[in-house]
Amino acid sequence: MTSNFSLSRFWRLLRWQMPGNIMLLSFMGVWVALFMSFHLIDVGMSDLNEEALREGVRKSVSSYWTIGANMICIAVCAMFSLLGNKQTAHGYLMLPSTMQEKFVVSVLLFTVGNLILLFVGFIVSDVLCSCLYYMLYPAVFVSGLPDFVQHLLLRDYYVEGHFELLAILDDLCPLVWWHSLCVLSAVVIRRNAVLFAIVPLVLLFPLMWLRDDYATEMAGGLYDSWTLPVSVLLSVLAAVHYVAAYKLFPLRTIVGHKYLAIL
Amino acid sequence: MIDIQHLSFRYSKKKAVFSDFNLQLHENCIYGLLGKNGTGKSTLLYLISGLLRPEEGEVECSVANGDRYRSIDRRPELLEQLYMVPEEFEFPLATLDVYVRQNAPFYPNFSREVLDQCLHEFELSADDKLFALSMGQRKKALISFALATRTRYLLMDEPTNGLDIPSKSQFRKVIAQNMTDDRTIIISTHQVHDVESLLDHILILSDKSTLQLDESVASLTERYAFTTCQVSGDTVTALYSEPSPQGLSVITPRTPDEPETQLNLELLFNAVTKGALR
Repeated sequence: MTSNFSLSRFWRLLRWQMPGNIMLLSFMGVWVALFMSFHLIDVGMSDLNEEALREGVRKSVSSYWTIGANMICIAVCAMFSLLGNKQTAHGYLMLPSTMQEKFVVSVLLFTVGNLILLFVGFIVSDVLCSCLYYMLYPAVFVSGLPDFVQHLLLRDYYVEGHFELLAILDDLCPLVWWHSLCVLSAVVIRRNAVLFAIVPLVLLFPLMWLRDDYATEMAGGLYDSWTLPVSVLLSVLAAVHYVAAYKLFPLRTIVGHKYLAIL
Repeated sequence: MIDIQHLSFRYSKKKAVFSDFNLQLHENCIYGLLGKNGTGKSTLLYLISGLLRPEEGEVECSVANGDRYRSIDRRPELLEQLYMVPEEFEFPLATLDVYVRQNAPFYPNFSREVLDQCLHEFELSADDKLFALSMGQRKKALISFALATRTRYLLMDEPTNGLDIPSKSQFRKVIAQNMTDDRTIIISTHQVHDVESLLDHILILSDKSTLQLDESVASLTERYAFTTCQVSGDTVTALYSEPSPQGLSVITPRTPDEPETQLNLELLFNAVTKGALR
């Protein structure tokens, strides 16, 4: 008996899954790139001095990252859409590879694949908008790429010669937790997995808003004391979600419960 | 060999489709799986493929090296030896050649030669765009691919549905050409005349999803004579009869000195499901 994971089967499966999902992934990339383009065009049309333009672009890049990261999580909810109907599920489940390989390939394809598309989408919209700015202000060259790379390298968290670990955890842990929830929803929920993943977020939103509000007011007090335990809790929850999704995915069959895919 | 032991299965809270069901399917045999609508033919194929999870019992399949695998575990070692042609399926937006390049690497015994031979027989080309083909042509493309995988187990759910008249004989030809000693083919169908001459063994599922008949064609034609007669008086010794355009189709017990007749699968099915034969 061979292991649950073989690298050759993994690559074969990745090559098999990529063409089928490219439309779904591209759709997300195009959507986010369009948002970025409109945002940057809006910045270019409204700000007439160079400093304001640069500041506008910097804010746009920041929003692009936030929206892009959340879009990746939403896209993950659709990673098992092949199992949505009997015809496509049959071809997918009967492929000679383990369910663990199918799970890992899907998660990677929809996370890393979307991240790459997010980058490509950004480059396209940045080039377009740089050309537009050049036409509007020929003396000024403004590109969002340096800001984008800075975000990618976590440079925003690099203060006074060291990384602000708590600040990284504060931003990263909720995102990883939500990603894990989306992965679990994609495995467990047959249809509209995204709704299942959004509901906890909507319920937690007022709490997060209150926490941010207090954190600003108390400037350091609550922020420092709550960040670490909340981050640890979210990390533990995320790990539980990932493991549960990995373990539950092999239970999926061609016909299942109307709502719960693993029954 | 496919070994089904004490299999129980139900869809959600509905009544059980199978309850303590047992069956063994052997190599070098083409099985015809027959039954009325809703008796569980497709469900049985899904359970053998591991696409459905049994409530109790298990389905085990042995592979070339003698190892046995539970279907529901969906191990690659078994899946690369088991192919199922479903009644309904979807192809990607690609040519048949692209489809083959994507899927063939998963099957270690895949033969391009067999594929080309089957496609030629079905008058298809590897350059055909799958999305532009008719339902029947798509089915022929999938059957060609299925045969080319040269898997040990080949399950087919209504394979002749949607095939035109010449394609049905082409289907019989390619199946017969690609049958090997180590292969087990299971064909679930309502189109009994399309596969009658192919089958080695008949399985008939009853309304209660139990096996009403599990017998080889050789044994059936040795025991029974399938004939047509004109006069109703001739039916005195008949085990079962029914009107046909030629007169009466009858099943009679066959004596050793009588010549063997060709199996009339439709007549046999009607006789078995009406309880005239056991």
